Amino acid sequence: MLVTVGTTSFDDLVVAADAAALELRPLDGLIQTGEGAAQPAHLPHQAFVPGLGDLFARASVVVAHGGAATTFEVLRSGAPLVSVANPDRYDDHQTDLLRVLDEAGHLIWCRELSGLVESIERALATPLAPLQEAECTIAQEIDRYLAQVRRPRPIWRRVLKRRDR
Amino acid sequence: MCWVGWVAGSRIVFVETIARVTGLSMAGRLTRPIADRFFVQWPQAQDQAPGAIYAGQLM
Repeated sequence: MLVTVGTTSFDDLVVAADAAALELRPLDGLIQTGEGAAQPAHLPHQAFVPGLGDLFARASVVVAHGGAATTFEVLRSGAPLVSVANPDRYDDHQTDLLRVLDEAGHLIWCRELSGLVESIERALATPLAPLQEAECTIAQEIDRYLAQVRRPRPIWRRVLKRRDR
Repeated sequence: MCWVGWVAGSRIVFVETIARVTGLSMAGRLTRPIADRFFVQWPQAQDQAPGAIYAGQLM
């Protein structure tokens, strides 16, 4: 079991995952505590684990905060993912991403930390849907746009031109 | 920053974060009125931002 709060601080998740580790024994694990202050008692932990991204693919389950970078990195690794939204992040936006990925069956969105053990057990027992990534053509769209437009005039030129009329 | 660019006559292309599925970020809401192209990374985000383009996911 690999636990990560990314580069942020999310002590509530660290504490809950540490407690869950007791119940889930003999499952071992590692916690990346990030910027947080919580000190887990039952699992080895480190503020930042070097090469964490390479460990995801070998983890039986990953428990993570709902940051987009972490979430997509874990999903691409193929590891089963239990996600918890950090309510302290700006306007609670992590729930937005987790809801849609949970509905599509890619991850298990743990809405309340009291249900973390149950969520982890579910992730260990049930296979999740692999992420199907849509082809990205944003770069081509921008190229196409830039090829068709001329540089607009600065606003002062626009204003002066209007006065000339 | 985008508004500074707009005043100077730059074209504005904005790519919304993939973290926003059903609403826009603060940066997105501030930039949308002046953006020449506005990309979102979820098809359902277009409902909240008419005129936004969905062209796949960048990350």
